[in-house]
Amino acid sequence: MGKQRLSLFDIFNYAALTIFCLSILYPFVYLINMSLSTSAGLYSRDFALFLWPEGFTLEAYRKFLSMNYVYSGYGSTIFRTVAGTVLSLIVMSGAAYALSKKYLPHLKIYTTIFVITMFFGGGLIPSYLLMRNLGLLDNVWILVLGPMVNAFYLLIIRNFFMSIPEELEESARLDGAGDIKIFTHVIIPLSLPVIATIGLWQAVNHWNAWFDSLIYINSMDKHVISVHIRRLVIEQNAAMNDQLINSLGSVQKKDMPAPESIRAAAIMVTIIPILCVYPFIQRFFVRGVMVGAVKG
Amino acid sequence: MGSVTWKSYVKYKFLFLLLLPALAYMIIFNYAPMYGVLIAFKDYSFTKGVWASPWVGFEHFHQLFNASTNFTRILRNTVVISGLKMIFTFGGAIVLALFINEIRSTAFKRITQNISYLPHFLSWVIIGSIMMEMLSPSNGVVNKIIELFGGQTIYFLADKYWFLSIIVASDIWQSIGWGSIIYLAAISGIDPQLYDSAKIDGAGRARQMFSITLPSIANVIAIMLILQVGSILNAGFDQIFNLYNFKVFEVADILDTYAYRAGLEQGNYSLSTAVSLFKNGVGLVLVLIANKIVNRMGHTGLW
Repeated sequence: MGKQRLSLFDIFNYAALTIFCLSILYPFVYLINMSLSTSAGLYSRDFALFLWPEGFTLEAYRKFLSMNYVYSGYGSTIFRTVAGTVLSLIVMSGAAYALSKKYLPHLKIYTTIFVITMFFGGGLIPSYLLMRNLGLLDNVWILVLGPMVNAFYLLIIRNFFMSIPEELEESARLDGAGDIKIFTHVIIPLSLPVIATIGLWQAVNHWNAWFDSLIYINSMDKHVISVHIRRLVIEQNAAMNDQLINSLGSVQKKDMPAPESIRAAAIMVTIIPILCVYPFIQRFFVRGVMVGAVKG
Repeated sequence: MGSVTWKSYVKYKFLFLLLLPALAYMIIFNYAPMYGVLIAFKDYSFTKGVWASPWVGFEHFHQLFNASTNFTRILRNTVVISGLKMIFTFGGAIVLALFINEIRSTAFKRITQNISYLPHFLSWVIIGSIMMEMLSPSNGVVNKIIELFGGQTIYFLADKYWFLSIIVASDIWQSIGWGSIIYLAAISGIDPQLYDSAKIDGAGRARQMFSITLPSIANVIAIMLILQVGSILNAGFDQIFNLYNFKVFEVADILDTYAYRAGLEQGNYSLSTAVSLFKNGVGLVLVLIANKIVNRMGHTGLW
């Protein structure tokens, strides 16, 4: 075919997609540079796009990290992400293995019990009342247990298990391996790609989750970090705003950050972990979409 | 009969041990709330519990459909917001996939895709926070630009004429790249010979796009569209909840946000559950119909 010259359409296409990418990235650039700016730099100009910091200080991050509940917030978020993902993978892969066996008695009934939950639920208040009756309100374990089993993820794992040839299990059995050994030493190692995919999926869900913390948790020191960020930036909570202003001192020094820089730093600290792992994990997610699309 | 089943349960006890935790979870966390739905037909009182609370039949539904609760407004907003997202985000994802497909440089293609997926991994608390900062009337960059050109400050999130545009724009920003994955995959499965013979016949790039690429992914588009219609009552709780306020309720209040306020802010548990039940019930019927249509078209739908 040889090299084709760039047509008018190509030029338009490259330009359009470049603008598209820049508009996806700009909010991040804006936040980073806002979080690094000093109040003197910020207020010295009427207008700035924040393609670079106006002045430079890391004080906004220091101020944010010294605010109340920031450490407990990250503690809760990290706890639920780690414990929630591990527990969820153990419970789901076990059940997925059982459901992948055609000879399991009443297989159809059990599978249906899981499938129904993909299409119908009790809703907000019945779930809330259940948690209250279980005595799980204001308990961090609710954040771990609430999203533990997802029927859709479970079926994706099951489908993968079904694709593993039965002969592998049989030959392991002939070698004297028992049920447990076959599951942990044959099935799980072969299924690492799908388990890693679902695990990352659950981990990101946990890291981002906020609504369950908002409605089920009362104690400030048990909330996940997103709830505190929400209070600081979205609700513009008076107590948090006061704390933020007070931390800057009564006389604002030139090299100190402005309140909006601290809010930007707060958002950045929650995004940074995702930005760091993103390059490594995004192909897993893309693959996951495919697996899910092939057969739900 | 029964003893045979019992024996097979004994035989496969290991499998049942593996199944049990997830099964117990489902029954407690998913099926118990389904039983709790009964309070939509009762006057729920916490001291009496779900079962002992008195039955009131459809009273809460009457109250819900009554003009005083603005039910038509909530339902209209839900459908309008979903519909707008279907046109712009769903349609946009298809256009984006077609554009990305036309890029010949593999590196540029890959970078564009990787950037476009990124916002999908952020929660609406974070996206909402970013928007609060950027759209702020006092120091947000968007209003600074408007002022620079001599315009008036716009209270984007408190202005009912602007609110829906912001909802749609932020939904596009978050989801368009992720939505395009499935179409790019479908496009990559098209037989390259089709393009080669089209070129021999003298078809240009635009002609190839409309005569080969689009028809080849029409099936996938149809399936995705039908499924999207099936979930039309999900207008995006997380997004609206983090961006709306009472000034824009007229255009922003949807079924889910109303159920939240009625239940957890006003303590009207039964009314809130009636809203959820209406939404989940109608949603279920829509999904079943959507799936039936997809199957009729000769494709395997969700099951």
